[in-house]
Amino acid sequence: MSNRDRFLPIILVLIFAAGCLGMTFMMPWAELGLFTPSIPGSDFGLQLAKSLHISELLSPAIAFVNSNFSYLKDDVNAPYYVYGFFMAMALVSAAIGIAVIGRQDAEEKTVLPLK
Amino acid sequence: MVMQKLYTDPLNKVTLWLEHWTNVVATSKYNPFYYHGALPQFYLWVLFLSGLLLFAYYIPTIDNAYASDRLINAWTSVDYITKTIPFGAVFRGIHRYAGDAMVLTILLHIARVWFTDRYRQYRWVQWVSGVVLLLAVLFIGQTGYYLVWDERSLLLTRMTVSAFEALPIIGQPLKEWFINGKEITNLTLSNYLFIHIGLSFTLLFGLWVHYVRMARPVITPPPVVNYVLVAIILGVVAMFPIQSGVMAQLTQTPTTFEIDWFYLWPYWLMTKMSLGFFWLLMIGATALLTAVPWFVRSKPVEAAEVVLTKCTGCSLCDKDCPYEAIEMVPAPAGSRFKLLATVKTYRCSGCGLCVGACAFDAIDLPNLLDSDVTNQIKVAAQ
Repeated sequence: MSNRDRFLPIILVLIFAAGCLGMTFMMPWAELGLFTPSIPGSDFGLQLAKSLHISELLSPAIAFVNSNFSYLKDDVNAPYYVYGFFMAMALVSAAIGIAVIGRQDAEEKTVLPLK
Repeated sequence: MVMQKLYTDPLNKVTLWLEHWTNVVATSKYNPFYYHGALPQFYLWVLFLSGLLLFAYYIPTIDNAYASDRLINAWTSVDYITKTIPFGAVFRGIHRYAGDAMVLTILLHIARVWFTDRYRQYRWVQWVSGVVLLLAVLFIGQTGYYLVWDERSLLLTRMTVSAFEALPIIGQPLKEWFINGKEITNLTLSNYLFIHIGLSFTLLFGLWVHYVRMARPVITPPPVVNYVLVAIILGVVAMFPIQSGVMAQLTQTPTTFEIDWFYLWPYWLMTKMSLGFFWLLMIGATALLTAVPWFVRSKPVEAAEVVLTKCTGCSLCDKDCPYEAIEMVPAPAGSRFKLLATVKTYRCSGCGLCVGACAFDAIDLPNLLDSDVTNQIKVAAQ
């Protein structure tokens, strides 16, 4: 087995595992309203991020949600929809990571019985 | 046979081509085509769970005789779920879009069964029970739209009442059963809720009939596929949030509604033709769909035959048969063995798995004897 065949699946799994963890990290912030601060009562997330000094770290995600979910800006359920979106991304990352590792079991193997 | 070759062979080739390339990407272990029956089953579980949560807050009444901030009826309870319960809107969306996804995956299931020619002869029970399940799912989904009790619900109810009234003899009793009385009242919505939930659980019985002729039906996709199925629903919920229409008023006469093509297409048909012709079309199409397994004549299957003098009753053939076509019965008096295999010829597909499973040459296909196969191998080896 070449190095590529040995290490590529591990690298891919690590990438998708990191993606899954990253999206999972976004989920509670979404529920707290960090990405939808225009919704009344949703500023707790932004206040918490500022107090933890991570609001700058999360600003790309805020910009992404603002540009792609602008139709939700007046919807009181916006934090929950964005939460569902990040959960979907976490599930897809997990599924791809598991499938990468599971591919090896899926290959057909022929076992010849010893006489 | 000619029609079969004209239609199913090219479609089968396309299906297999799609499956091949999906295998390249996802491998056979995670290929959703190989779980085409399990996909709608999984969405049924999602519907049960999301429906349970909605049911906890739903009030099946139509009372709106007065305007009030504290008005409690079906529409306000759904509004309460959507706007006040945390994640209520998400669960409502999950319930709605999982229902649509279930119809879509059922259609894909039907297509693959059709294209791979797995609906005829011994598989007729699966096909016929599948038609019944499809009709039940469509009706259950329609009752879901009635339950919201917005203007669309009122219009759909009135259109359904008109459609039932158009039926001779059974029309009036059917209409009174449907709205639980002679006019729309609170009992009407209770009836819709009973149908929506009760018929949903009856689906489980229908599914048992659908699976009973299969030895090892795959009814659960692997977790990887399940994650993607849930992710698709959550993504669609976020992209297309559900909104209720205006509360229904019995004194009003709504004339238009937003159509969900998965469930409400019969109502679109009703607007395009007379109700008599509508029923003729629906009943005729259902009858045709049910009779599909018998449309294409094919060579009768030559069922496997047990060699009674060699059978030891080990049950390996019974365990391996995918179609539950072998039954172990008590061996005749005087036999050295306790059990004897018997073949239910109407279930046998002639696949030969039992012949391969048997260690005693005690079961054979009449058109492919073991001795013939052995001779062919010897000739090929020389």
